[in-house]
Amino acid sequence: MLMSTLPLLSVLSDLSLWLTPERVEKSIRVLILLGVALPLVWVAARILRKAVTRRTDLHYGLMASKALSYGGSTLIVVMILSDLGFKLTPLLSAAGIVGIAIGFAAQTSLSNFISGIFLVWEKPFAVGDVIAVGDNMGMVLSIDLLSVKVRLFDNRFLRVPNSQLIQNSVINVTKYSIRRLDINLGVAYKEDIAKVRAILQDVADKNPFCLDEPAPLIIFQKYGDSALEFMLAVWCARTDFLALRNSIMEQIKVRFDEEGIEIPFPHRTLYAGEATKPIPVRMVEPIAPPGPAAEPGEKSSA
Amino acid sequence: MELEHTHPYPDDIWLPRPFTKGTRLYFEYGPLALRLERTAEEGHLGIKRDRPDDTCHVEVDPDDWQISISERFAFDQSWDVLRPTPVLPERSVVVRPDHALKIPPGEDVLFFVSIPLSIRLLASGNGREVALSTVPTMVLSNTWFGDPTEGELCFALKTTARRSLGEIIHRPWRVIAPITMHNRADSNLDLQRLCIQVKHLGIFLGRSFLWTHPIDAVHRGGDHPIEFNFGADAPAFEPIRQTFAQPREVRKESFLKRSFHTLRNPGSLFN
Repeated sequence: MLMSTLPLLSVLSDLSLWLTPERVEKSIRVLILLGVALPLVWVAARILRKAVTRRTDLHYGLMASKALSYGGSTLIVVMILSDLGFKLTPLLSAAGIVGIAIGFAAQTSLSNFISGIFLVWEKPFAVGDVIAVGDNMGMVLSIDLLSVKVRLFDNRFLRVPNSQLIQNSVINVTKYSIRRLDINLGVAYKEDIAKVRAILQDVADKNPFCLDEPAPLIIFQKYGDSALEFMLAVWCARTDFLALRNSIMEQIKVRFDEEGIEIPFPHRTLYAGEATKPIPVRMVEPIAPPGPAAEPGEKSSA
Repeated sequence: MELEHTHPYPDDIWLPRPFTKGTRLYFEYGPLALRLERTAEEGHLGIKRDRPDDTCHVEVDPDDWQISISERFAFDQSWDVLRPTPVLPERSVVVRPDHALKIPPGEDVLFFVSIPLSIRLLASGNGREVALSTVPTMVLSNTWFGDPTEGELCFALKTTARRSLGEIIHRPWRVIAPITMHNRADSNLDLQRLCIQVKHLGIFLGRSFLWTHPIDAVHRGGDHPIEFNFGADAPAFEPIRQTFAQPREVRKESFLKRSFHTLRNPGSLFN
């Protein structure tokens, strides 16, 4: 019995020797830093995000929150390491050297980081905006240090590196409250242009999603290959864009049908070299497919 | 100036109605027809538009009941009264006068703008009142007031701003907004479109019409903003019998600043 308790007593004896008042104080400080200060930083970051979002917008709220969260956590880790007896000067020196090495090795990330700063400064879009990048269009979920996260409308997730957004064109679809819908359409050459204009204007006037100001534009664009080509440009509230596109396209077709306006299919007229004469057509006997030789006395079907 | 008009206003169209189990109500407000039916635990609302008529009336247990249900409301039997009430459109309204109009310097010009109302259906019982639904009497087109990059989404009013009381057509489903334009500038004021921020207007019942608060707009020319003042009292064109609604938003200093900013350039107000 005594033999079995000896190691335990030895450990306790070592512990009592280790637990000097200074070490106890440091241990308590570390525990407080981990158990109180760190959660406090997270709570403060959340409060800061809400406060900044309320005063500016979600984008700046997220940035401020992340800055406080990362900065505060780093400071707490440094304080804990200091309390645990680590010498921070060589550690920070080493971190600096490692940082430079990583910087050289990770130029792409650095480029994205700097581009991210430009994005925040320039603010071409904000969290919640709908943007088009290349062939993709979706809603901005977050603008982070290295990339922008976008939820595409078919619910796919798109990560766009910040440097790509700085170098290439980005369309912010929801920047302004109103949008213009351009509809290209063609009518047959026989149609009355004034009548077509009047019908398009009437369709636009009667569509409740179509703004009367800015006024609809009806542009006779050109004499096309197969049709007189028009562009109808109508404005709407950006939230009504799909509703307008769906309704007005259908209404134009219905009205054209009612008014007897022809929307022609593409067609080509071939000339034989002289403008007024048709292409000469010569009927030829079709060639009979190869088959058994006709019996004497039978008529050829050809 | 007081209006001499022969048509009394049919104020029974806004009376509270019993709405107990089995009740059927039919309302006509100009182009809008509403049917309401009460079952034990539900209310059924039917909406029909584009009636070719300006009249308004209410019928209990009507014979004509050919409107399909648009909305259903689930509630208990304590809700036993239904009160329709007139409300102004939810967005500002842009009105275009009959023709582009120039107001010479020093002139004060009075307009009467007829605005279609929305009907708010309020159910009440046990001391509580809730809005079941708000239905516009006519669907107004959208329009934009301001630059394409900055402005306000409004409703467009196809009707015109009338110059005299005699031109106003008696339509109980509309409310009349009296607006006085004061041109204090040295040059003509070219009036083409007029934006009315209806959220700052109340509704009053007169002898023949519903009225809003009177509006004064002062144009001083140059870089001065247009000054908009909304009267605190009902207009004096008719004896006022009842106040139907107070402004949805009380005018505040911040609102004035915003209005001035929006309307800094007279061209943006009357463009």
